[in-house]
Amino acid sequence: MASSPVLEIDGLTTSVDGLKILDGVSFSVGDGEVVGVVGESGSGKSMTALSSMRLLPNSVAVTSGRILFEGTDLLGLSEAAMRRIRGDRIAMIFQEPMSSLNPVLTVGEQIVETLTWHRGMARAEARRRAVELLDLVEIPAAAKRISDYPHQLSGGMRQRVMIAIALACEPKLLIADEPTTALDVTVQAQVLDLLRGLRRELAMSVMLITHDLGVVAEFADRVVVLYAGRVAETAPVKALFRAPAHPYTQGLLASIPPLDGPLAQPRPIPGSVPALADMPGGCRFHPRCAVAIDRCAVVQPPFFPLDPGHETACWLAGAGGVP
Amino acid sequence: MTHPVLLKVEGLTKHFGGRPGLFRAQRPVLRAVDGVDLVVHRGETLGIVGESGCGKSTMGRLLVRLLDATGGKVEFDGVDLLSLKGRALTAVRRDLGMVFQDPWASLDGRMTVRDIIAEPLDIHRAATGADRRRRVAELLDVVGLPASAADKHPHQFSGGQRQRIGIARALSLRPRFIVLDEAVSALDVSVQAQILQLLGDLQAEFGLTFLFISHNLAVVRNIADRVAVMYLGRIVESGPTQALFDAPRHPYTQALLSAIPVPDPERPRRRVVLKGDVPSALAPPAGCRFHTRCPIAQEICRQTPPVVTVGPDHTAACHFADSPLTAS
Repeated sequence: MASSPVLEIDGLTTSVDGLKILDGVSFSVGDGEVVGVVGESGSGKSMTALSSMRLLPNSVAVTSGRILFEGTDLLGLSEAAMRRIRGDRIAMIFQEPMSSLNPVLTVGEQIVETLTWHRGMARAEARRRAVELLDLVEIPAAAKRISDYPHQLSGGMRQRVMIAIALACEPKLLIADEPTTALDVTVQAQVLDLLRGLRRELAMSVMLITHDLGVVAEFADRVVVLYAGRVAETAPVKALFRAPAHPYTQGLLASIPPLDGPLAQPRPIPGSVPALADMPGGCRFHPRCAVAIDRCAVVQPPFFPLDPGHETACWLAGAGGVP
Repeated sequence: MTHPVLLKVEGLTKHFGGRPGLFRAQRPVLRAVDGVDLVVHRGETLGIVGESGCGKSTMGRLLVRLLDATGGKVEFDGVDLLSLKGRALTAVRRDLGMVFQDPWASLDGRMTVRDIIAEPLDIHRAATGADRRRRVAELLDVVGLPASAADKHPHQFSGGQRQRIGIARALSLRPRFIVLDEAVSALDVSVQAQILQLLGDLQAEFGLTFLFISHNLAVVRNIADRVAVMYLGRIVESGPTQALFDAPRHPYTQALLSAIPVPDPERPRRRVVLKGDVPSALAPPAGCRFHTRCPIAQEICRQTPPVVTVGPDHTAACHFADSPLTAS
């Protein structure tokens, strides 16, 4: 990450009815970098993605923080200015392609719409480009498929169409929210291969939101671990899996049943993610943490740097002994 | 496995459609389960894996008689399960339990936890009054929930706790055989491990026999004694868990295993990426059903594949299961 980051999220706090969903989330996505944002349900990972697209539901308010995209604070832009960026410089793909594609438009129409709106392309030219894009995402017989409606495609093909739409304007940043979660594992492998190739080819930065640590291990350069609306740990991908520093990250890794090697009984984290209405004080993980000390229940830990690019919000890491 | 056989399945099929529809003379036939043979031993966990549409859930429902089979034979503890009717069927149902995937959809939100857990007891008139209360308290304790949970409603619980309620309900009539259909798939990974642990404990305590259906191979490896891999309504490979994971013989099993993202960025992967999608069960390919996506398919694969035994108890329905052509 030599140059300045493409996206910099700084102290992002969002709330609903006065309850904080995100609480001071900060991380950045470098030029050409894939940053995996992982966490369980309720960790705030999708909320982070939607904030970056300025697509938060009306009930959710950003109460503080900045989201700098190529130096511009997206939170300060007018809706009209944001609409020009969304789908053009920043694109997003969602988990469930069937509910994010328009069922009454052909897939060709949906790509053409993006190109004419953002690029002012003539329809014939946009249509040619749409075929190229479907080719790019490896949809067989693209020239024919362009007239299909979403329901005529399989789940994997629909996700490819979503990717084609997202890439239509060659975005600088792609936000992928659980892009392969709804897909079968053999199809997931195809789509991940495709995304890997495309981001290299198009030199895109990617924010990859997922609950699947396997997907992160295979695709991300750097990882941000979220827990209950706060960043627990940030690390280069190898460091995170080799030496996870936060007890939550450690617990998460230990709870995955291994696919090969010796059969180790997965060790669950006791309890469950706290509800928004009764967030514990201090470190939000302390009620489930096996190594918590008194201070953890009272004072929120700051970030302690461990190695370059690796930091964690845990008092024990700060005390010198990585727990 | 030296344990006696509890469940023996032969040529089980379930076809949907086919009968004349309202606007059409003949609807197309969907071959959801199309000739499945398997054996489940007493006290073991048989894992069923496969991708969406392979027929694994349909099969699970056939085995607890939630669906009626089109053909085949299921012997449960010596009884011909598929031909049972009326009182005999009701009696055998007490031995069969089921846990569903989605603990949000499978529990009635207007009922108290007590009534949800006791509903099977009510239906079978198995316990009333103080007996019923005692049994519910017992079941809550067994699945690790406090007795105070009985008077609450499902929405007051987290996903993992709801799945515990679903398990308590499935256990209420003291069944011997339980089908768990993606029972941990909707849960967060840290909670998933809690439920897997609970299932292991329950099996040991009550000598239960599980059919554990899942698309998650890592979870199945962890809980199953033996595994059967399904593809388009048929079992393509089955064997003891370790043998199947260490040396998969069917190219589909190999592809499935290699496609799973592994949480270790420093491990080199050799991946078999399959082309295309699973064909429709309305028109399954002739011969070996996998041949349209198989990286090593030959001419012979267009004919019906034989079941090739590759080891004790380990079978693979592939012409090349024993040949060096397979990419293992």
